[in-house]
Amino acid sequence: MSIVENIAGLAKGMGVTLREMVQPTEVENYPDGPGPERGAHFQDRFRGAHVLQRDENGLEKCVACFLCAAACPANCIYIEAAENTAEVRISSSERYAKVYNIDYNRCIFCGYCVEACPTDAITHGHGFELASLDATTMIYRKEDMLAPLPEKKLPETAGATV
Amino acid sequence: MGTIYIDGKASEADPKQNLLHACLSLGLNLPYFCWHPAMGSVGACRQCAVKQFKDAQDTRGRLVMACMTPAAPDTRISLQDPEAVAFRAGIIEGMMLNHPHDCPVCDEGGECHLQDMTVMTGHDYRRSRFPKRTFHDQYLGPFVYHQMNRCIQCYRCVRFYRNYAGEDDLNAFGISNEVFFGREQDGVLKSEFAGNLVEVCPTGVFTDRTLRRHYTRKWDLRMAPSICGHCSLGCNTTMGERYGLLRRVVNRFNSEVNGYFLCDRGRYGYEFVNSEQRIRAAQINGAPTSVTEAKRRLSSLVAGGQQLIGIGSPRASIESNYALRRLVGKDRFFCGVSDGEWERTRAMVEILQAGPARSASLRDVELSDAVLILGEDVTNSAPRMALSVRQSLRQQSFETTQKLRVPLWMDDAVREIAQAKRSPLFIAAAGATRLDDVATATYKAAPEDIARLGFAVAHEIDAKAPEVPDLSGEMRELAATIATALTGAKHPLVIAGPSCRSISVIESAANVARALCDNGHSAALSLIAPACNSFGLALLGARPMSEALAAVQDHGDATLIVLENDLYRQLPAKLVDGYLAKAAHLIVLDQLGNGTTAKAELLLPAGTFAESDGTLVSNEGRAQRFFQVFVPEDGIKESWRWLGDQSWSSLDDVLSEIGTEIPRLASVIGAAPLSSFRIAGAKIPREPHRYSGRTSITANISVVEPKPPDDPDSSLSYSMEGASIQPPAALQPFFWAPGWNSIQAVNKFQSEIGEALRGGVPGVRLFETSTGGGYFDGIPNPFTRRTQEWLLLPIEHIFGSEELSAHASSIAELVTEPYLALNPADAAGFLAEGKPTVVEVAFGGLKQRVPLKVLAELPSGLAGIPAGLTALCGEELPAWCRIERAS
Amino acid sequence: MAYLVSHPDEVKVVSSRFGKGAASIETYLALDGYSSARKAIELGSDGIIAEMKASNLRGRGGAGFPTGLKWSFVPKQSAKPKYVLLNGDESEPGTCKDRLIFEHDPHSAIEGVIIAGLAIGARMGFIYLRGEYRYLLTIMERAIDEAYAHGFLGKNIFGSGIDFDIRSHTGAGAYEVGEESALMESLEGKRGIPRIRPPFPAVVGLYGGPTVINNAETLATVPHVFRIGAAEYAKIGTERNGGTRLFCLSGNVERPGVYELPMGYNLKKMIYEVGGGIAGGRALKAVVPGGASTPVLLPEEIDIGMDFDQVGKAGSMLGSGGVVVLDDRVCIVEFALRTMRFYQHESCGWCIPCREGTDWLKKTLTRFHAGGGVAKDIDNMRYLAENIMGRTLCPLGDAAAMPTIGFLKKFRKEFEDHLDGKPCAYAEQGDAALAPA
Repeated sequence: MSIVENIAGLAKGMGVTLREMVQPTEVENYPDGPGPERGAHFQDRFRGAHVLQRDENGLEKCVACFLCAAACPANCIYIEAAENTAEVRISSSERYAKVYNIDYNRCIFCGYCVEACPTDAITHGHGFELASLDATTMIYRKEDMLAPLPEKKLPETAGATV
Repeated sequence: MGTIYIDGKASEADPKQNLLHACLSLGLNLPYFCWHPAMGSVGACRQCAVKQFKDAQDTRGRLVMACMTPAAPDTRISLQDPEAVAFRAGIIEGMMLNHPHDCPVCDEGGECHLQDMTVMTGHDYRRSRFPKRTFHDQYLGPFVYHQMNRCIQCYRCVRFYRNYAGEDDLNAFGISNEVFFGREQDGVLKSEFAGNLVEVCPTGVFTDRTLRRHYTRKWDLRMAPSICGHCSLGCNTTMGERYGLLRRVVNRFNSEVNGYFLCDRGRYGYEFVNSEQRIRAAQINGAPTSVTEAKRRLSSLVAGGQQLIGIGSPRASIESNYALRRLVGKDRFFCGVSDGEWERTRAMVEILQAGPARSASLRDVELSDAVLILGEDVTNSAPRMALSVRQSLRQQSFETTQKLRVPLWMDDAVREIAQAKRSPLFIAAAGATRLDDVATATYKAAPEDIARLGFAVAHEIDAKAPEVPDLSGEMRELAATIATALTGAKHPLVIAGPSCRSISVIESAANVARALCDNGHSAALSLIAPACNSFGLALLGARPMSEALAAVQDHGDATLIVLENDLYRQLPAKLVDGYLAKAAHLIVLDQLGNGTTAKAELLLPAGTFAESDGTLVSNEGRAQRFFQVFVPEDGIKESWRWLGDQSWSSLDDVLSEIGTEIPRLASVIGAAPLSSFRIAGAKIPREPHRYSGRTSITANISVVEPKPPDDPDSSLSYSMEGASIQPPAALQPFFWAPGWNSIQAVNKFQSEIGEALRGGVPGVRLFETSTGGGYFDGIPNPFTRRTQEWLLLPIEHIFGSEELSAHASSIAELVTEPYLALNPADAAGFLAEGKPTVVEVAFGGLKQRVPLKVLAELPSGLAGIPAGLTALCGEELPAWCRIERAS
Repeated sequence: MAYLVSHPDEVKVVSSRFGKGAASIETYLALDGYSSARKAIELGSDGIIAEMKASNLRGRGGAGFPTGLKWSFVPKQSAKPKYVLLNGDESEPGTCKDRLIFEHDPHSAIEGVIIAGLAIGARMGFIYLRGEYRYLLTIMERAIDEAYAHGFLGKNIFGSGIDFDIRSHTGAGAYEVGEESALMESLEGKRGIPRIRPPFPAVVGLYGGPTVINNAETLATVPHVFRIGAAEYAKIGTERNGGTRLFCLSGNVERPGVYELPMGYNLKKMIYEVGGGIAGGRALKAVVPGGASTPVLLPEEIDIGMDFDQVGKAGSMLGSGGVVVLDDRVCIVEFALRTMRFYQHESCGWCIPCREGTDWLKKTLTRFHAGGGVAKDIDNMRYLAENIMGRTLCPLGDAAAMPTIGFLKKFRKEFEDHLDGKPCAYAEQGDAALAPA
């Protein structure tokens, strides 16, 4: 019985190998490939430069809870919190991050900040072209990391003549 | 002590305490909510359930609430029993049904007792899928932020607010699972101790409203032990800073002083450090200048050959005052306060040094069972003491409680037994006080009559004490009542102070204390000082200000150095103008801009409590050290550094020199360990080990992580590195223990719950009882009112009367407008029909227009103005004034 | 006016003056009223307590504590004034006996308070009526005024040289206030939250003074004990359970009402003979023997005598004497839900197991009855109820947990029948027993 099982197992494994053998070979054509990543291809789980996300209303998801900074083993996240007011509303909660800096000289891309984030505000994007000859340019500010505002759809009737 | 068995292990426990107290004292982790070491047990939260067994044979046992069960000898309990563990997790689950789980946006997150206890019980999964209830949040004033949805209904807030602090505008409303804790409607909380709700609340229902404006998690704060400088009591605080901004103040437990609570002035006054009035750079004739230039100018002025005249300050540390005294010479060092205040302060120090009554700590106040207050509204002049006086009122009822064999920690039962029975409290004051509601009797009178009452009480107790002539029958009767109450008590206490601006009041209090002590009663005396280091300055010794004027006049070209002192608040403006005009050069060191700094030729930025090290002597005579929290921007320095000797390399040098020069201050150096103190060779970190962003804080300036600043003055380090295990109490930068992130981590640092910290009681007492002196006999004549004149007295206000805290933005919101108060009958002549009346007060050639306020309890013939809040605040009061209706 | 019923098996002691207009003092006096108080004055404190002990009268509020013993706990000497409290906060669902006393015989309650006052040496008594009984307050206040007018209250009562005053007071409608210490809090003007014992009310009670607090029925029985004699009274009931009891028979019986029966009267007989059997000749499903807080009894468990001991042995409690009869149309889940809705609403909010547990139970039962239940809900409800049982500060938690545990234990099948979207199999048959509370 076990011999049959072993053979079946081997056959299954070899089947994968054989199937892959006949697949066409893919070569990343970076940096001359198409798309914004110029041919580079990433798995979803790739931990690249951080992106600070916005919610569906365009408000920043970050509520300045400081958990990412606390989780960061490299101590490279700097946050200053400020309160949202009726006039100035940046996030949907009580506070928002007035300043949010990551020092990429020190970031080790461990993903702990993303794990810690209770609002899914900080995520790893796929940005990887972070190399620089000048260390001082490696401090990314909130504005450098923030996801773009969703394009506002104008109501259909806007501008229509009556 | 008896033996109790916890999970089979024999342990020592105090049978007078409950099992929760015993378990926590033994360092065990048992979750709890409604119990509070200062407020006892009420059995509301059922969180501290343990299994109790009848005897060694009993294996079934039954669940009991640890906080409601005495730790009687041979009690056998189990914390780890599966049923108890499951029940405790079930309780947390119940609380969590409606808790919003909004920790990331909650200010309490990271120092939340509810978080800690939830983790402790192991509850981690929400089974209920029903919607949560929501509440309306109220506006409760500038100090406390209300977020009712987070409430777990432990009733601690109302128990503190109503039972402990004695105010009634916060209450529980409604029943079942919709109990609401708040006010009947939005509004500023009336209690002067409302800020404690922030620490009393186990979760984020009541949070620090000032912290919200510049929010930082506890783990991100750089903290240091400090001493509150906003009154003379010397409450221990922890200050927290981040990114160069002082963020908040919390209580630092000291069993002998403030215990678990602070007043709102002490908690929220810190914001003056961040005030726009701060002097952040040295100035020469109003123009900012560099530190080097300022130093050069300072040394050239000092070495300039002119006569140096130093004016010290009751709100500057001993070290700073000493540095000035040393610079100018002891004969040219003046006290910086009016002659009257100096005389009263020195008298108080002499009285306390001479004994025989013990100088009362706040704990002594709390444990006294009969109190006589002469001439003080303690809630406004030494606020934290009022809270202690309120607790003292329970002492006599404890006898009945003990007779009924109800333990003292069984709070609701104890209060039920006590009903309205209170220990005697007699208040003689020149107006209403905030403790009148609980006083056995009050006596509203002019300072002279208050002093006469005091002298009369002393004579009633001891016939050897001088007799008061022409005493009215009514007053003699009151004096006899007070004397009986005080002599009938085990620990009588007399409280007096300078609010009446009368030395006789202070002397009469001393007589009462002496009479009690001489007749075999263990009486204590508490004398409130005008400022946080008045007693330190008095012990250091200085010459009175009237002699300073003569000195300035003698040396027409004198260089005046004013240390952390707005002379316009201390002395009549005319006089100050005279001094300052006469001086050839004026050097001022201060923290906030004021009338004196405006006239400085050389203005030096002095460090506040948060930016400097130093020692203060509290009204108890306790020398306590405060430590620098952070290194401020270049320029701001401790005054003693500006003025000090080049040979001083650290605070220790200053202190040891003070010890040699002034023997009566020799023990001050022992207020905290020397800067060479180390734990296992390491300094004590000011930052928690979770302190985040260390490498990036200054990354925008330089990507090189800077070396943390050195601290030559203390054994605290400016980083998260070091040994933080059980530091000496005076060096405890913050309370944290594994699993205990909230301030209740203090449990882990106490020798026994609610008792002294394991690292000792911070500070050294400079006044110990001795048997010197004798009775005072300067009995004043009775007060006689005048027909067209009123005796003008200052009225102390917790918010506003103290100079520095009044600049805190939250406190500024509650500062009263200037007014002139008159008794209704006296005011009648000035009141315009239904309109606010403005009057003109005139005395000693001064005139001031102020709105008229009617104060029912103000004795006839007296007029009151808020202390420190008008242009008249430097005038020597009391003074006879004329009042006219302003046209 | 409540509708009065009667049955030949009744032994009319407390109810002997019902329906005779005894609310008026003239009638009450004509019916031998206030004679017991005069007798009590002669007996003096010790004599009264001895008589009470001899009568075997046990408290009618639910716990069944011997009344004479309770009175004897009050210290003779007290620096603080002593008080007598009549607990008329009758709020237990299924119980409506005190209402009849206040309506038909308020003077017996007054007389009982006077006697208790004489026994413990109190000078002041309070009659505390349930908030919803405001209309009875008028009757009670008139009775008190009459007693004052006749010199039975006030200075020198009955010419004995003793002063005694009575004040009436109503609650604001909270079940919790029926608990004696919560009632005292309420009377003092505070939140109706139970106190911690010790100290017990006999030592530190109302306003800190030694206090005797008894159920309205207990105190209304006291004058009758003196009227017919303690020994005679004790003979009526069973051993250790003296006298009669007002049983409030309600639910699906032919003749619901309040019946005064001797203690130890057979429950089955009570339902089938006194109550005239199940309404419409239907089958009996369950009986709640002592008010909504007592565990339910199955038809095979009801052949027992109604006294504190026998009902206790059967796994339930005599409680306040509210017998609720449920016929086979009643959905037990819905009945449990109604019970829980009441207790959730009335939880005072002090301690967590009860406050949060009842709420969770109510929500689960609501969803469960609506067909949204899942199998684990049944065990969870049992867990929640058991987490409340015996672990709260006051008995309200037990009151909510006990019946729930009983329903879940004895009618588990019926709960299972509701599972997973199944509509209530019993709902369509109507619910005569469950007219809105």
